[in-house]
Formats: sequence, structure tokens, C-alpha cells
Amino acid sequence: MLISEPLSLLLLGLALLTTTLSSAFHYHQFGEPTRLARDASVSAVLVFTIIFAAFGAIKTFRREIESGTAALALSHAVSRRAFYFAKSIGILLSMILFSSAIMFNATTIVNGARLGGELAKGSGDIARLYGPSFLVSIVVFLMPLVLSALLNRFARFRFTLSAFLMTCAFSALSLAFRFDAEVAYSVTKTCLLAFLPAMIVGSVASAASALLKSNFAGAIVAIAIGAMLPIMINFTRLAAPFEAMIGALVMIAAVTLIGVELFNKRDLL
Amino acid sequence: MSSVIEINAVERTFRDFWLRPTVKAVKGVSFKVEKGEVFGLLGPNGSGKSTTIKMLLGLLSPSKGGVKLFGFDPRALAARRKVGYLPELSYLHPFLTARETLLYYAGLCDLPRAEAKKRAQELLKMVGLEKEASRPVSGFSKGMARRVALAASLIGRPELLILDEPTSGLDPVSTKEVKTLIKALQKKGMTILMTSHLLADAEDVCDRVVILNHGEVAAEGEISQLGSSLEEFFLSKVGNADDFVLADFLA
Repeated sequence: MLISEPLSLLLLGLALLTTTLSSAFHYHQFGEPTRLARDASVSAVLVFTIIFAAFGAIKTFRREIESGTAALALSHAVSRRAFYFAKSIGILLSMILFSSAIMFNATTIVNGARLGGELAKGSGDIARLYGPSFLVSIVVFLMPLVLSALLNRFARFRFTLSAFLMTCAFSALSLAFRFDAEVAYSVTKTCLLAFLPAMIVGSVASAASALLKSNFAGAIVAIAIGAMLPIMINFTRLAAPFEAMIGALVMIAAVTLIGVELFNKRDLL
Repeated sequence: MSSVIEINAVERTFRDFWLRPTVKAVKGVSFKVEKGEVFGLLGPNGSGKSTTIKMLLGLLSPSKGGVKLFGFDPRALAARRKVGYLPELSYLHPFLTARETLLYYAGLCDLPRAEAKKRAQELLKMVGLEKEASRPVSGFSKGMARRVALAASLIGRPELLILDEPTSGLDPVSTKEVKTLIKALQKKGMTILMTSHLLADAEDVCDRVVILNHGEVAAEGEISQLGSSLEEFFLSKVGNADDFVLADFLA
């Protein structure tokens, strides 16, 4: 399972830290703390979800093929199409979980920036990040690690899996802290536009990992697609979220179908 | 009634990136395995045993010839539903426990959850890993992992069991237990195809064998008809013991 991998937890932790700390260290905000916090969050969603997608696809497909577990699964009454779809959907669901955790945390931080800006307006002070929001974001990052360590010590729960899931849950719970529907909508919409290209990278990386015979080749393809993302991002930002989503889903479906058909024909040594 | 396995003049050529032939691993191999038999696929390293098994499981496509499993194409789900497979190396997901591994493969065999749990418990007991059921398999020794893989191959109550080097990595007691298990499964009507480097193992459990050498069938027959010693017969078919590669393999 992808979310049981230590690297998944590490990437999620880094993404949350980046979201939280980049907002806290914005000294030159030019009176736009909310927009800067939101942009930092979008960048975190984009960059870390792309890395997670490429790593997840390579780990999931290449490792299964190279270790022989794919061959063993396919020696049962499982069609190759079902196997490929199941793995691809697993990667996409993990990506949704991963980017949602960053997005929820980002909403808390952006809300903190908004509250800080409002307080500054009243006092005439320089706008700063609202302290309690910052603390909530740090708790979202640290508390799951502590609880998972305790669960691992006393109940033999798997540390990485429980820490990953708890981070997602704590991140979602953090939304309850001074919830603002307008901020939540704005962050969700922007993060979605960053998430869609990452999903396309995930499906391309899945196909590349399943079909090419080396990790290196899979990684090169995923990175090459990743390098095209700034262009895609500029395009998707112009588009409405609904249109961008439809476009992205069509691309994902096309890439997945091509991957399925080619995987169905390849030999598994 | 059709045979359980029917391999007819099968060839398999591996090609490089530019589709140039690199090696012809299997050259016109034909044999049949009938219901209830324990059939041995023997041969030295590189003789084409694993390639033949992978074609049987639908993991590789033959370049020429035909493979039938229960009368179906090996890729047909109807055929694979009746097959259990123990690979040469115990390919297991390291993060799963022994019980979770069996439940995962039970899921692939479409066993209902309650039956899967019961079956997993029975098999863990059978392979002597009942107390280790909740440990991740990454911490298991080679022999323990082998026993989990053996249990996984039996979880779907297969009609045909394909065992690739079933005793590899097992101690003498476990080896004896596996051989006893093979005989017991045969008595229950299961068909078994096994490969082994250990000729004594094949001699103990197989009814019939095919000996492959350089991708071709060097000999085929019932164990009882192959002379007093399978080892002597094997050596006469695949080379002599002075051959360094073969001596190394036999050691």
C-alpha cells in the first residue's frame, strides 16, 4: 500500500511544513498576506503531489513487477485490465488523500493570514499570520507523529500508515478552527487547478512505470511531463475549475486506457 | 476429456529492444498432464522450465505453438480460477502480515470473507505459522516466507497446483512435510506440476517427468520406467557430471 511507505509520510510532512512555514516567513507581503499564503499552498500541492504521484506510480507498478508480486497476483483469476485499473485507482486515491491533507492545512493557514490581516487593519500594524492558526497547523503535523509512535509502542500499530491517516484526519479537523466558507472555497478552487495536472502526471507515470522496463525510464517520463506543468498550470488557471476538471479527466482516461491496453500485451518475466 | 495441461510444440524466443532474437528459451516443447497426476518438470538451469511455467500461467505468450489449461487459453480467467501457483522465489508484500497475505490472495480467488478467514487460519496451522500470523512477512526467514507462499498457493482450493522449486529454502523436516503434503493433495484429486533441482524430491513424489535440456524435451516418461535411478537417467540425458555447470547445479 502506497500510503504505508515511509517516503509517503515524509513527503506529506514536508508539504505541510512548507505550507505552514512559507506563510510564516513571508516578511514582504505588500499588504496581501492572504494571497501569498494561498499561492504558497498551491505551489506545495502542485510540487509535492507531483513528486508523490511519480514516486507512487514507480513504487506501485515497478516494484510489483520487479519483485514478482504482480506475476503472482496475475497468476490468479485477475485480469490484467482489472489489475492495472485497481493499481491506478489506488494511486489516484492516495493522491487525493495526500493533496486533500495539504489543502485542508492550507485553508487553515490562509484563514490565519486573513485573520492576521484583519487584526492588523484595526491596529495599523503590519499584517502577520494569526498565531493560533499557525499553532493548529503545527499540531496537525506533530500530533499524528506522537500518537502513532504511542500506538506503535503499545498496540503495535504500523507507524507510517497510522501517522499518514491521522495527519489527513487532523488536517481535515483543523478546518473547524474558525471556519470561513469563502476562504475554504477560494483555496479549494485554486488547489484543484493545481491538483488536476498532478493527476495527469500520476496517470502518465503509472503507464510509464507499468510499460517501461526500468525505474530510470519511468522517472524520466514522469519528470519530462512534470517539466511541462508550468505551461499546463498557466492554461488551467485561465480555465474554470469545471472545464479544467473535465479536460483533465478526459486526458487521464485516455492515458489510462492506452496504459491498460499496452500492459495487457506485455510479457511479465 | 481434455488434459489438465496441454502444451503443443511451444516455442519462445526472447527479443531485444530492436526485436532482434536474443535467446530461444523453449524449442518445440510438447507434453500433457492428466488429472490427478504429480508431474515433474526437470532440467538444469536455463533449460526453459521457468519460461514454460510462465507461459502456462499466461504471464508470457508463446512465440509459436499452443498452451491449453483445462482446455482454455492460459489467460482465460476460467482456467486461472482453478490454478494455485508457488513461484520459485516467495514473492510476498513485505508490509503485510502472514494472515493478511493469505486474506489478500483469498480475495483474488473471490473467497467470501468469512470463508477466507477460516481457510487462512487452517492453512496457517497447516504450515506451522499460526503463532506468527500477525507478524509482517518482511521479518520472516526464507523458510517461513516459503511456507506462507505455499499456504497462499492453496488458499483458493485449486484443482491444479504449480510448484516451482517447492522445497527451495526449506530444512529437511519441512522438505519432508512438503513431500507428504504433495502426496496428500494428490490423494484428494489435485493435479500437481512441480519443478525441482533436487532429483530425489522428484523421484519421491512424481508419477511422470519431462526432462528439459537447452529448451528441448530430452526425455519423458513414468518414473518407474526411467531405470533404477532418476539421477543416472537425468545425467545421461543432459550431460555428464564433469560438466562444470552441471556439477555446480547438482552440488
